[in-house]
Amino acid sequence: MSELLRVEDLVKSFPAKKRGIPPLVAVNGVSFTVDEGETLGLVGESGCGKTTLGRSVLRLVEPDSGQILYRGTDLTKTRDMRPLRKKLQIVFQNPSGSLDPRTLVRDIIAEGPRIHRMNASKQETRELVDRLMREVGLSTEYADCYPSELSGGQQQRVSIARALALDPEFIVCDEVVSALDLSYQSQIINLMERLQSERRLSYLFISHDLAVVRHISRRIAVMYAGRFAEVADADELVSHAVHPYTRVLLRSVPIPDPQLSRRRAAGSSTGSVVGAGRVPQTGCAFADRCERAEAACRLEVPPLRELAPGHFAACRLL
Amino acid sequence: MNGQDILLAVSGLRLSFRTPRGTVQAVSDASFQVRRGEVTGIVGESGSGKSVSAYALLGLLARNGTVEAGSALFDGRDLLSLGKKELRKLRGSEISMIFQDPMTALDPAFTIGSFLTEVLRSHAPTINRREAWGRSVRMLADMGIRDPEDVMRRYPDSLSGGMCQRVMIAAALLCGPQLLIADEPTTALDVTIQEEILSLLQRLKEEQGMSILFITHDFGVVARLCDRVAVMYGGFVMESGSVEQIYHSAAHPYTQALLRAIPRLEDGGKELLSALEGEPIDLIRLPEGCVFAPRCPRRCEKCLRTRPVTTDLGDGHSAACHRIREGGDLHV
Amino acid sequence: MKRKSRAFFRNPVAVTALAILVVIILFCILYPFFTTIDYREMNFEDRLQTPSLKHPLGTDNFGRDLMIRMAWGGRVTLSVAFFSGLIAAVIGTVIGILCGYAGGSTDSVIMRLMDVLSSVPGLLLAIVFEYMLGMGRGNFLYGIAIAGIPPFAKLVRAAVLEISGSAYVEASRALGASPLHVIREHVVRNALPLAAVQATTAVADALTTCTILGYISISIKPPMPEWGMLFDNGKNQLRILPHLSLIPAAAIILCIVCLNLMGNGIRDSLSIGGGDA
Repeated sequence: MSELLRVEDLVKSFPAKKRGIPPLVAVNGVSFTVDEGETLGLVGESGCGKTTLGRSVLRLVEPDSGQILYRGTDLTKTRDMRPLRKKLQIVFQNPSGSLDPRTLVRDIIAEGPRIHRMNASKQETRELVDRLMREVGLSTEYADCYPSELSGGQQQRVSIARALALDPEFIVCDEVVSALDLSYQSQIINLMERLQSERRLSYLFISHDLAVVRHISRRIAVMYAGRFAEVADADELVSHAVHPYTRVLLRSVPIPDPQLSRRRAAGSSTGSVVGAGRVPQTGCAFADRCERAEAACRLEVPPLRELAPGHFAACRLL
Repeated sequence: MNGQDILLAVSGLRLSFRTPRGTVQAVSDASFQVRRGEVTGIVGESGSGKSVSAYALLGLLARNGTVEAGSALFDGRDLLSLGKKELRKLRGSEISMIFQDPMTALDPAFTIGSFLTEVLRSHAPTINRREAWGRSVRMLADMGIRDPEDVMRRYPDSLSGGMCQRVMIAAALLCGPQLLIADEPTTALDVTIQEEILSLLQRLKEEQGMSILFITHDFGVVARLCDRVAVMYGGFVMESGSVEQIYHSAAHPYTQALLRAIPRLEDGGKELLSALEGEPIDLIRLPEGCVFAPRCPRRCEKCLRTRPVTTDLGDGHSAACHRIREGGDLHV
Repeated sequence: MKRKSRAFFRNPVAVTALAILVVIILFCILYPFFTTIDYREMNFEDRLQTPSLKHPLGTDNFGRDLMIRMAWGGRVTLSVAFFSGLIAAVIGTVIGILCGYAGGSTDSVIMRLMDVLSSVPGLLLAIVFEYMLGMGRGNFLYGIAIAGIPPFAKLVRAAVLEISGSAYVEASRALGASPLHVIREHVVRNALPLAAVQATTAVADALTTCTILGYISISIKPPMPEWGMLFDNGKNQLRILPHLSLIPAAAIILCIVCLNLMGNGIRDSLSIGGGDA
């Protein structure tokens, strides 16, 4: 499989609203690659920067520095992103918010082709919309409806159809099932997997739900406070995670089996919580919450090192 | 289980909302119980009626909502027949509730200290400020907060979500209620923080014999914390029983389908997830028969025509499904 | 859009209000063609008459027929009100979109200008324009229009900011949309409804201002009538023939009420999701 996307040392920060407070560095030097037809899972909790990373890769948010190489072309140096937008798409988290409430489903799906003037006639556009709707499993009778008339799962299918309309190669999936009920989550995930194999798509699959990410990804990157804490193959990560944060994350994923769940809970400790902490400026960002933290951990930021083939982690103690 | 006290017994609850589009039958028939010192979970997706069932108990339904039928016996009294004044006295002192988004539930204009002392003094006006402060500080410490005095002086916007939820739980427990109702208290929190809060609630149950009615959509959370579970769909309780019964011997097709649809970490993950087909039901135009029938893989003619009655499967396990009565397999 | 109008038309109050307004407007436009009496015609023998078959609304102290003067007066008053509202809406909306999109210093400067403008009472501006551009020719219309711009600008700007920050606009940009496309396809259709509601308010305010202007005699040059002026003219006869003042007053109030009810109706029909949902 050939490399489709390569990101090197991406940095994105947001200036503080008040003077005197340092800027918030949402993405602090992140690098990764995604191959053709591959899914890279990106896991982390709120505020870790995964959403910003997803948007920065597509330059929906302008990165401060770093390189984004798409099939060799550096996106950060591209003047006009528009032709490339056909190949690099995104599906958002909130199904209802990401669809214009005053536009018909048909027109939402056709917006991309219209922008790029891809179809000559109305008839062709109509046919394209119908084809896409069938592809995502949405009955064409919904084409002349407004988004609010559809359920969350159906709205998300519209979002997906919209992204597919431009025939992309790479899609950033930003928490695409997080806002859906359980019974619809699996429907959408199955759909995304089917589309991936039929269209040979690559995904950057962002989610806070490790179980879902594990299911759909070949490799997983765990993000904390703007940096990658650990990167490994999905199976390897789940069974042999080494970074303390990854281990905490794995321990917290709810297990729908009462005995296993309680056995695991009994084995772990519950510490007191400190007040609303701000990420420390020096050293490892996880040090304050880490069971194994030592004084030296707070001095220097640990680099991401390859501990085993394909398995990277950023921790002094390994 | 047999000798244990039933603290809350809800039976035949039925409620609806008037909307411009029609009457939404949010709950058609719900029955569940909470025993002393136990956690009962109500599990369901959006639109199942789980949250409004809890709100109805404390008289917190929106203005366009009506409780049409049912009883909710708490300590000998029927909550659904109490007047506003009596309910207000009850809330916070005998039954407390915590909600989904702790950040918005706290008034940003008040410090945590003023909030907590206010809660105490509204239920016990004779208590003086110093004692109220002291009790609040101790409660925050019990919640696992390292610097309670410092937190008392802070405003909500300087606290994290997990911290706010601990404050809310502290506020809920200040007056020593018998029952805690928790409406999706961890849904808006990160999963690692969720684990901490669940640990906290478990400790409350084990060390103080707290009884909890826990509403959630997450089966993993239920497995972690609950002793008994009621599974709701479309305003009906589809199945209820102990947590072991639900997970290991689920009888209702909906419960079975949901349990199968959960992506698990242990999964090799290369096969398709088991998915529930179909779309959510319309609570304004409920189907004639079983509300789950349109999506049920095991439906039959009877299912589409008549509503199933709740069948007792023994040992506190019950389910509302035609196919069970006919001796169909309990396991698919 | 079609669904929205359907929701509006299902609202009995709003539809009635619209119907009343339409009837009044039609009356003002058509009535002069159905009568032979001229609005300037003075019949001193017929002065100060109560309503009769010949003069359906009676006559004023110059013997002029009130009914025909109400029709012509309505033409003036309502034109002033609607045109000033229209000018304010168009200019205010354009400014709002510009500021919402431009941001930065352009936005700040223009918004401060709007703040200054909104602190000047519309009435005062109307009078100023009358003096500046010549009195009696309806130039107060421009004053009212300009005074009506700031609320539109602020409203539309706020809507643009909210819309531009929305996920669906971000989605549009992800598809490769240019700012013009976003404005045309998303901003306009989502901001327009709010502007429409504001428009009814603007016209209602303009009507009030006209009344006051008429009352202080800074209005259209006689003998051309105008409702505010008619209200003023009749005040000396309040004790003997109150209808001379009350009819114009009632007309103005009725229009204002109908406009407000229509505005409510538009607002309500928009808040019900996507129409039928």
